[in-house]
Amino acid sequence: MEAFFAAAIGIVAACGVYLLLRPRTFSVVLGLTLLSYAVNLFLFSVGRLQHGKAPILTPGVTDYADPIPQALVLTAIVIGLAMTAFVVVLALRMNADVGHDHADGDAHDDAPTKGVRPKGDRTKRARTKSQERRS
Amino acid sequence: MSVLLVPLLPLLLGWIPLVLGRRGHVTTAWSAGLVAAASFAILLGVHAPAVFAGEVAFAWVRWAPSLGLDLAFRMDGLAFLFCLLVLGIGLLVILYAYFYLGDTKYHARFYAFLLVFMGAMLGVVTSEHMIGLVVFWEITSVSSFLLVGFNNDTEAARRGARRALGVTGLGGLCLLGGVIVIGHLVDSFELSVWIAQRSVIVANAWYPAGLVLILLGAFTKSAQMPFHFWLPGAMSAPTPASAYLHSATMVKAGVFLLVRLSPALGDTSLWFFIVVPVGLVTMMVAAYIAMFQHDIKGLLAYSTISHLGLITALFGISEPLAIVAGLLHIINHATFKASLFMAAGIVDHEVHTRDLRELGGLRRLMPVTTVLASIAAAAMAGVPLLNGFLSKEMAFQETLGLSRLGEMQWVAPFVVTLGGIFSVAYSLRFAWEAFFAEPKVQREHPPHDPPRWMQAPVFVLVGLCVVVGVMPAVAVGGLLEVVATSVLGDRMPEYHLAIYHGVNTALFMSIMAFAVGGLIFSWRRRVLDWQGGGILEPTAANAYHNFFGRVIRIGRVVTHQLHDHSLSRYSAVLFSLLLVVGSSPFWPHEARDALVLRTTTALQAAPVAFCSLLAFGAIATLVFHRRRIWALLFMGVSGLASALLFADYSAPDLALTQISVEFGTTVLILLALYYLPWKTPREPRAPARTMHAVIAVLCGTGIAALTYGVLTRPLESISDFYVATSKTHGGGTNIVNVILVDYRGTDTLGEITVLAIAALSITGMLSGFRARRPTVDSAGRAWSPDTHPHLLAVMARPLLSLVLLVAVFVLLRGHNLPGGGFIAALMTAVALILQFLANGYGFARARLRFDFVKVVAIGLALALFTGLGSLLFGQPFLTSNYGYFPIPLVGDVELATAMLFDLGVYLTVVGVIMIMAIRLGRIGGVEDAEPEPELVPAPAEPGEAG
Amino acid sequence: MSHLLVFAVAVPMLTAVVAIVAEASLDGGEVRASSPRALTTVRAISWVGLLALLAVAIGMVVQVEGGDIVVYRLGNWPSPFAIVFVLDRMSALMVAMTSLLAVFVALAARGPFEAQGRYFHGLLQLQLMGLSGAFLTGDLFNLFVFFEILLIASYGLLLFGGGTERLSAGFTYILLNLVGSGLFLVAVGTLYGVLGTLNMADIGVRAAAADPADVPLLRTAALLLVIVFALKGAVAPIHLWLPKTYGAAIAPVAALFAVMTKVGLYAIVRTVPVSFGPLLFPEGLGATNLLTQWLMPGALLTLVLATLGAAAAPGLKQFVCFLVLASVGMVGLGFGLFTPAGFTAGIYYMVHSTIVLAAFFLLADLVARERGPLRDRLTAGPQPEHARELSVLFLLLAAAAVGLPPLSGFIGKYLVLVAAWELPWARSQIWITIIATSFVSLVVMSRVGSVLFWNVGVVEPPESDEFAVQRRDFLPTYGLLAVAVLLAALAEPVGRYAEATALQLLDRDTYIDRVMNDREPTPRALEEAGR
Repeated sequence: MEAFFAAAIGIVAACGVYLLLRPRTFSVVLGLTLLSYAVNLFLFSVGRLQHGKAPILTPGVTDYADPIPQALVLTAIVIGLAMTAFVVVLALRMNADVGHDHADGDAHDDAPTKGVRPKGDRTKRARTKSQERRS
Repeated sequence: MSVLLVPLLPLLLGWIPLVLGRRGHVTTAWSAGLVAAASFAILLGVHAPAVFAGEVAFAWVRWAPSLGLDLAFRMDGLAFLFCLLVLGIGLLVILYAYFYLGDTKYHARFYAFLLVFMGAMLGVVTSEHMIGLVVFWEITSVSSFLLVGFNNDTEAARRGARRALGVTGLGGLCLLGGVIVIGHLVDSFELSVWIAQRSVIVANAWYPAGLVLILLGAFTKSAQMPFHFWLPGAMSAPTPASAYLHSATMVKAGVFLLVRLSPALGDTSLWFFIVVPVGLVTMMVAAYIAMFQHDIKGLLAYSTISHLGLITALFGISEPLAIVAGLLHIINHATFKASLFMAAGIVDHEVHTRDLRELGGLRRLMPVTTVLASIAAAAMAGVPLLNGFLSKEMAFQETLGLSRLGEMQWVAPFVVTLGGIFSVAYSLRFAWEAFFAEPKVQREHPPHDPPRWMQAPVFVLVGLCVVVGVMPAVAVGGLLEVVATSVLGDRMPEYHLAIYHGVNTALFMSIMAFAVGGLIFSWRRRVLDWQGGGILEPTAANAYHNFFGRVIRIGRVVTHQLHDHSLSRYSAVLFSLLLVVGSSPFWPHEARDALVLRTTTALQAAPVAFCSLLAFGAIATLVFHRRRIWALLFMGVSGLASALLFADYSAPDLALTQISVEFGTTVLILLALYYLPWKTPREPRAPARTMHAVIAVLCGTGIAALTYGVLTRPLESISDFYVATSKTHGGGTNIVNVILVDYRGTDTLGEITVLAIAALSITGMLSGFRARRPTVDSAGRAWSPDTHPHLLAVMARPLLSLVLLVAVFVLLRGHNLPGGGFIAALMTAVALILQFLANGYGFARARLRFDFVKVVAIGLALALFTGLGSLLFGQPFLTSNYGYFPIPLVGDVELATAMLFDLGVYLTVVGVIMIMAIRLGRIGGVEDAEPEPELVPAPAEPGEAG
Repeated sequence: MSHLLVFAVAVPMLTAVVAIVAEASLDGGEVRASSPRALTTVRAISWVGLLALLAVAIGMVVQVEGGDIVVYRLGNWPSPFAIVFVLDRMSALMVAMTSLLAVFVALAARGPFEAQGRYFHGLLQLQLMGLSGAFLTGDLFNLFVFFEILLIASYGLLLFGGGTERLSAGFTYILLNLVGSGLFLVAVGTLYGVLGTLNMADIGVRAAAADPADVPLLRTAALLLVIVFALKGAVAPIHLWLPKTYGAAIAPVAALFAVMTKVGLYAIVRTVPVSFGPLLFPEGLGATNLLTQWLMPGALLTLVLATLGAAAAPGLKQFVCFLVLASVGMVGLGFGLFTPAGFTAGIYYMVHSTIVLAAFFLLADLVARERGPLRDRLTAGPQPEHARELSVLFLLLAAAAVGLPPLSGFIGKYLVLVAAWELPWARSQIWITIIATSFVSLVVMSRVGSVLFWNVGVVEPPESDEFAVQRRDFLPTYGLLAVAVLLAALAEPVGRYAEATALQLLDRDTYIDRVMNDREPTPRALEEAGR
């Protein structure tokens, strides 16, 4: 079971990392969320995979699930919520102010000083952007 | 202790001229003069007798002894000599500067810098503690930077100043290094200890390193090749500064260091073979270059370099007599070179040019200056009956028969003679072309001798040249004796100062010098033409310049390449680093077996299903990430799957929280997506997809391996404690909740703080922010105008009260059964948001009139005060207490202080979520909304129509 | 039991709450920026909080001056079952330094800055709360929580004032740090999964007795944790986010951020010796090993790249940002040695650089405000109105930053050199790097100064907006400078304190003993419930 569980977490993490490396804020947000799933599950699992144990104190029961990781994950989830909300709003504001939702700063803010980008792709990007607008 | 006063007086009173700045030039000059004079008086009055009695005075300033940082001063012969030079010439320079600067605006600043420099220089020469010496050494560099850059409106001055600082600063760094090295060899930074422990130092394997570093310091300061180039550049300083720093004092700091340390580090073959060649080469080459300088200050600068080279060579030889010769030459050079600089300054001041090609014929116009300058120049050339002659003779004599050179003994005298020849040539050229040659340009305002007092300093110095030259024994004999003794101690040689030592090689060498030098001078036209401009531009300067050009260029390239602010690149770096470093413990073979299989449990149906769902959701998100709505849905699937896993692995609280958070997050992102592009287009610049894929896969593998490695370990944790005490001492059966509000309540307090800050920042980010609300969806279908379905509106209102009731229940039971403040809060928030969705912003807002920021604050305060409350009972923060209270209809309800805390959590979370929801919900506002339509009357909302 | 520790966290939190309520009720629901009326009130509240915190910090310094370690058991549970705050010389020093800096930051924010948005003082106080908590906590997961607090507060402060540049700079910073947070959890999880505890001291105990088969796993966890700290500390190669982020923040915030990198470095020296000593330093502290083989090159690289960046910086503020990086490198070199001398040097340099660079950020802003359209760009321009004050400040701060005697930078550099000399494996590389980089930065510094203050044209009357520099705007910079001068003048006591602190940090046994074993009489008899 552990192997299967580990593999699942690995897959989620991998997808998360890949999306985090995408240059668009939205993909990054998705990646971040996936990564946090993986992390939370991992953190939860370090109390070991305890199937059908009592989480609540009940007379007569002696075998309980390790509560500490659960508490930690709870805190982590809530903090994660705060962070996600923050990032989403930030992405929103960026998209509105900067005019695009690229996460890779310089290469895409249209400051005249940046001569690094070939002419063509700028126009191309403009086109894709206008498409986004129309859609 | 009066030793302190000598350096510290000028250093600490340097600000006086600045304060008096407004009172006019006379005042500032006098103030500076008086400060210097006071220090001088102490030197002569208090120390001269002691020093001539052969005593050495010490003084300590405890700075940071435990760190090895101290200021210690010693006043012995050598220190005394240099103090004499620094203060004596310093006074003359102040007098001279008063006339030279005339009515310049920044005179106060000049004197202030000058005093600071003076003090620092005195500190260098009187230092006993070597770190202290370094401190003063660097201060001289900085003050010279300020003095050279004094006329900072010209680029030449600025560059000159920067170079002077750069080169001498580098030297200072090396010196510091060297001092630390040697200091560690004998475990002390005190000069006396170093001298006493000479054998230990010289024997140590690190002696060469230390020596080289210290020598680098000395060479840079004394402008030895190849570090000489900063000195000509520094000629853009006001002439008084040049006369002071660049002839008499600062540049002497290097040779001072050599002679000061020669008893401790000197007289080894390493010392000899580094110092002597550098000195000789510098002497000869600099003298050669000097011949071709047209700027008289430039000529004098190279001449200075050359003479310093000679002194360096003599100290490198470190035969007792050589050292005596070097010391004598330091005195002589200071006198004649300072006076020459002043003369040059006078010429510049009166004629307004320093170019030998334009000067000439000043003999008639400025007779007095002419005489003085010529005598000084003669001394520089080493004409008999002048002080230059004596030391030059001794120097020549000492270069003979250097046993260390073996077969090559002839080289030293040969080189020195060459140097002598050149110096004769440039001295002649200086005097002749400036004063005696026919004037090349006719001036309508013929220049004239400056006021008497401006010449006075020159007169004094030239007088010294003559006096020393004519009656050396009387004039400097005693002083030299004391100084030499302080350096050589018992190695003090037999010598007598005389004008004529009879016919010897040295005399022959000087005659050679005069003959050939004169010859070269008479052929100067041809020599100049033949030489052209080649060597005049010192190559070292270019090297230095190019070096920094390159540094800056590299810096630009590297920085631009690295800092491209591309998040994906930055995170790629981070992940790669994680992989490399994180895996490093497993590189050694024996570590691999840490991952061997241990206890594992069999596959169970439900978890397997959930895990698969989880993985499927993630992969689907990845696949569909360009179609954002879909991606979002699949992500939700993953979230749901993890909630199911939590539930299945006996964590109901987690499951509940995960689901509600999942709901919140999804709604949030949906709201955001409403204003974001709906599709992620392919990038025009293809990003490194494969590389990213590799990194991602490796990271996934890493996490998986880590998980597997941990899960297959037997765990003995601290959890039993909680099972044992949760009910008995925590007053709750829901262990997780008890942990959250009691054992680890501080975490929860922090967690809600994070939520609160997030809410605050979000309001900040969104304040005054309006995004255009799209009118059609991705498929181009128009949004339904019917924003608030009537049915929903009707349903929602009664629902609210019901949900609130449940929420309270969940909150109360949270301590014993799954639930608690957070989950209750989420339920409440959902119910409230529903009101907004159902009835429109205006309607809801009009009924929920309180400011949720305050709700948040109150919640935080409640939680905090619950924690602080226990302080009143003399218990630590967040110590919980509980009891049972009968409540009608409900029966006995257990109330723990922890529940108050949980209530705080509840309020905070409700407030935070409402803030976010309301803020986000209102971004779109309405197309025709005014900038700040807060708390708009209900009709503004289209929803009210429905 | 002394409650000072909890006050260090509670005071700023309470202040923040009060300030926020006050501002919310004075300005009502939603306005773009705080109204002057609200600001005067909020400022007063904030000042009370700041001074109270400063008093608490001083009290703590005094309390541990004798060298004992105060353990505060939150919730009055025995270790290691609940969260503890631990006060020793290091944490006291950090809190004191931060609260002192905060006073000047608040002073600098007065006027135009704090009115650029809302809740500046609330965020500032919460930032301080996070910092104090991070410095005081003795529990790894609790450290994570406080890291999150101070990070999200710093996000808020970073974005304060709005503007697209801040947004895009912020996004990078935030995302990287969120990845870091995730990583933190992974590391904590691994440690708990293998050792079954979260208390730093207890981790140290159990790690020392760990099954050899588990050691590699634990080492990985420890290294991951160090990477998280290095990310926050901006150690190369994960320093890339820093220049733009700090450059984007408003001046007072940038000045406050001078301490943020130090938090990461603090976390390293706090956790590594106590919790991971036996894991990472099999041959004992001071030897080269699994950790130093990564940390030392990282610090050296940081120093080199920072110097190059400074040489290439287009503007004064960017320049200062790279100086911050350079200071990270220097402190890292000191800490990376894991010897008493190295820690002493690192601690001294950390305090020095925090104060001096904070002042430098404020100075950069003053310069920018006085050079009209040129702002702080490093090109010849008009003479600033207060040229004299500015140039004097620049000279002193530059000398301090580049390490010219007799100012604090010199002492710090000297200490690092001496510390490096003691370790043959570190000696030459550190010496060569430091000498080379200080040389370059000295020259670069002189260039910057001569461009800004020497290569100037005629005096242009600066357009008098609300950002026009008044005399009182110099106050915080002077104040910080004064502190820096004191650091040099009082090098003896400061050095002694640093030395004692270093020894205490490296003395893991005492720390563990104090945290684990001293049971203060607790009303609940819990001992029997212990393991």
